[in-house]
Amino acid sequence: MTGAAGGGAILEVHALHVTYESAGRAVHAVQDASLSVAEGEAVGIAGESGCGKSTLARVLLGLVPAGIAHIRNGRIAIGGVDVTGFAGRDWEQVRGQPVAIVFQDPLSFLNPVMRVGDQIGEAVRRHDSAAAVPARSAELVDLVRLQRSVLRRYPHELSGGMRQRVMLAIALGCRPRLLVADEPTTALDATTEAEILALLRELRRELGMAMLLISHDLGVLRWNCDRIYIMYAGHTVESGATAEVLSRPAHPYTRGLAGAARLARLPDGHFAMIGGDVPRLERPARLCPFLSRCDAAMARCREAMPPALPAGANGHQARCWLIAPAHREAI
Amino acid sequence: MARYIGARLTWAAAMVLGIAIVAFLITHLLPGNPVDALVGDFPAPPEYVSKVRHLFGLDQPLPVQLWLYLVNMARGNLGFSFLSRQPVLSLVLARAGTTLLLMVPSLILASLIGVAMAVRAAASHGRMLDSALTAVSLIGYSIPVFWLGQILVVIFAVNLGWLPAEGIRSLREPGSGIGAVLDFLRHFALPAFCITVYYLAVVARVARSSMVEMLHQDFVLTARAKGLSERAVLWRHVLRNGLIPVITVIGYNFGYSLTGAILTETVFAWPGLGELFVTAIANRDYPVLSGIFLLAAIAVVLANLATDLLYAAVDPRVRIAAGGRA
Amino acid sequence: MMRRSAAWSWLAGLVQRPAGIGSALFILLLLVVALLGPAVLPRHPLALGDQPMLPPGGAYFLGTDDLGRSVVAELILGVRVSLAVGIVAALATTVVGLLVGAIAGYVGGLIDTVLMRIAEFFQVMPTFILAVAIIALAGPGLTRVIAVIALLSWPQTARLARGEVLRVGQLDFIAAVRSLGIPEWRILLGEVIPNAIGPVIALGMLIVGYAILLEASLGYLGLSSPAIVSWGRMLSVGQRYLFSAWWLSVFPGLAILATVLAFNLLGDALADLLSPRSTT
Repeated sequence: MTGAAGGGAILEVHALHVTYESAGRAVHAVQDASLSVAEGEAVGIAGESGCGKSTLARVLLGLVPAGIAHIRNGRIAIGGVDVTGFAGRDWEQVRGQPVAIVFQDPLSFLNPVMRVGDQIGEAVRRHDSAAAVPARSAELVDLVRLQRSVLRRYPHELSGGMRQRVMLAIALGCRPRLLVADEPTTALDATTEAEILALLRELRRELGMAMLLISHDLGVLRWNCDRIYIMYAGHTVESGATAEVLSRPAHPYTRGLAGAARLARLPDGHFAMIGGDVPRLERPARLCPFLSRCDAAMARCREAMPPALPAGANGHQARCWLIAPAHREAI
Repeated sequence: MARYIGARLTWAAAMVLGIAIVAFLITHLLPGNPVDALVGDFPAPPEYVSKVRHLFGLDQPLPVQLWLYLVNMARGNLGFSFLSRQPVLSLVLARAGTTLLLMVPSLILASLIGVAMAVRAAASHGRMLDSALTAVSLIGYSIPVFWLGQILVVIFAVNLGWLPAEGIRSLREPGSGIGAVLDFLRHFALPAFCITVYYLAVVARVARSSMVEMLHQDFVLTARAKGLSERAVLWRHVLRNGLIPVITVIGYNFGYSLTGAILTETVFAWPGLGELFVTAIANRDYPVLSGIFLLAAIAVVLANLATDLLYAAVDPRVRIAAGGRA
Repeated sequence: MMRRSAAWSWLAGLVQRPAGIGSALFILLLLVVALLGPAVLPRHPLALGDQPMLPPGGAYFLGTDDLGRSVVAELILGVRVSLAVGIVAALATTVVGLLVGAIAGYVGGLIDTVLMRIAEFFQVMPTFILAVAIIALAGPGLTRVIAVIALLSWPQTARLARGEVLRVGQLDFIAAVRSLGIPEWRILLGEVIPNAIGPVIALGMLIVGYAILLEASLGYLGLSSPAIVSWGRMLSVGQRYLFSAWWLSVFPGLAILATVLAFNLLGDALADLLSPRSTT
């Protein structure tokens, strides 16, 4: 399920399988995820909480706990370099530059006893030079539309929106070619969310960097991403141009998701419309992971896992037997 | 912030007053009459006893005595030693420096070692170093510090003859210049090692748990995501946050540290507060005993106050609601 | 039935922790020695011998002291003092601390504030120096030592008990019991305290160790009755002969270290086992 966009891909993930293993128990958080992001492109990942999207985001930078998280299968390439086997210091050539990340809750992700200026300065010193710190820090806070006085403040003295701008400044201070944003606005109120999203759009235009935006909120993704991947129980189940996928969803899960998004979103990020429960992740799925909740399931779904099949224009693909040619002919 | 400091200062003042009352009570209410100690075991003539009682104000009602005690204390008069007839305050202050000379470097050393071990244990996910830390802490908490001192003397002074067993300088040839410093260090080595182990027990336990906890905080991910080396992440981000509980514990355990110092001094005949204390015990020198208690308790209150203020300085968040104690 | 199965699962949990079960067995052994030891000794342990300062290895196994008494015999007698002081002092501390903490946590309000301020006051005082001053002035005696230790160490137990009582008091089943109209004091004694006591017991083990160390320190400073053999007093004698008779210091110290270590290990194992968070 590679992306439609040609040219150089900054990120390519193929059939990725990631487990957390501890005390004899395993959780297969990501089971079969494939995606790609081209230089300068904005790509979204949508899914419910627990679908593996945050694990996917963190594994790209080696930020999953060593010794507990394992890549069991698949491949990650960043800027053409295979990073799948990276360990320890290897990751330092990926982190920040070319890939930076912004997390969900900026308060817990900022060091509470370090001034904002020092935390931004660290990124600059690492990726530019120590001499560049004052000028570049000032430039970065300008870039994220903050007053320069925040450099002397501590994280707890700032509002949620300001903190997320600081997180952005730290990420941008690394001069990334790809910005991974993991639920960057979930912890914020609606007004602040809109401001941060607008800022992200402007920054991308100004800096020309690619973005991987992860959210449970299809509304957020719809206006900020060129392409979108739908993730379910560790699988990327559908992908394509955002407008195409959301207006003509092919996978029953996406249909439920898009329908739910139009109706109501529960405060905890779950969607009201889809019945049944997310499958347990203690063992990898051998069949379609949505099978137990799917009201369009058929005999074939219980025989084999569907491959990625063409579902429409502009590289729209889905992993569902419903769109298989054989099935269409049978109708 | 001002309210926080004000509250801590008020509480410290109340504590000092309470401690002064306790110091007064232990000398005036406990069995064993100070006059007996003063006039000695020899049966004294009754008129001499009543003269002494009058002289020390012991014939006044208890509240009046307390008031006199507090007024004198406020003037810096803690009474006079029965033994040497010297003012208690100057006796104690003269020894305090020598005790601090032993305590402070050992505390710093224990903190550095404990924190360094804890950071490395947290970083390496190493069971070896982690078990070592737990063991050091357990043994440090279980070992009688004066016995550790005795063992060190038996090994290094008696059997190997490498280091002196007691005192702070050689009596015959203290030397001068560099020689005097070396002589001091040779005397310093054993008691300092002994008391460092004792302090390490406290530091290691707290440092270990706080470093491990900090290592799993979210901001560590942000630091890593910037591309910082693991070493920078540890020493700049984890350490800075993990130190806060360590500082707090050292500050709040000043009394514990002082106890260790007093017992260690006794083994090595280090001429500090411990020696004064033991002499006072042996001679039932009431004013000196209660004076040492009073000043030690005030030192503990001041150390706690300093810790609270330092805590406010180190941690910009200052959790007032937590009541100051972590 | 509930209680018994809970106790059973504690025991089972303890067995899974080798340090915990090892130290529990060692403490049991010490108790046996304390109860039976002096009876099986060949002669009265305090009988003066005619061979003072014998090094270990001979007929006396661990040597003799300056008065010709067997070091082994003295060690065995010393177990009694250490265990008695440690256990009784810890028991007294735990009872006082538990009561104060439970009342503070359960009643709350002004009583809570006042009790906790008093506890904080006692915690700030340099315990050891105060204990030494009191014993030095009042004179030695095991009862006094126990009373002083309990007087000075209850605040730690009280603070822990208060926290536990606050935690348990918020659990749903307490509200359910309360709705049955059972008097408050019976809820406190019958439901809250039994559910809050685990960590307090674990702390009690640590206090046993602390009390043994404190008693030994007093003995070392010469503040124990000359009529009683205690490990601390043996170390006090040992200090005088450090240059000539190392065995007078080494063995009593090892005995203290091993005993205190056992109680600390048991305390840690129990804390691990009884803490409300470890529900494995």
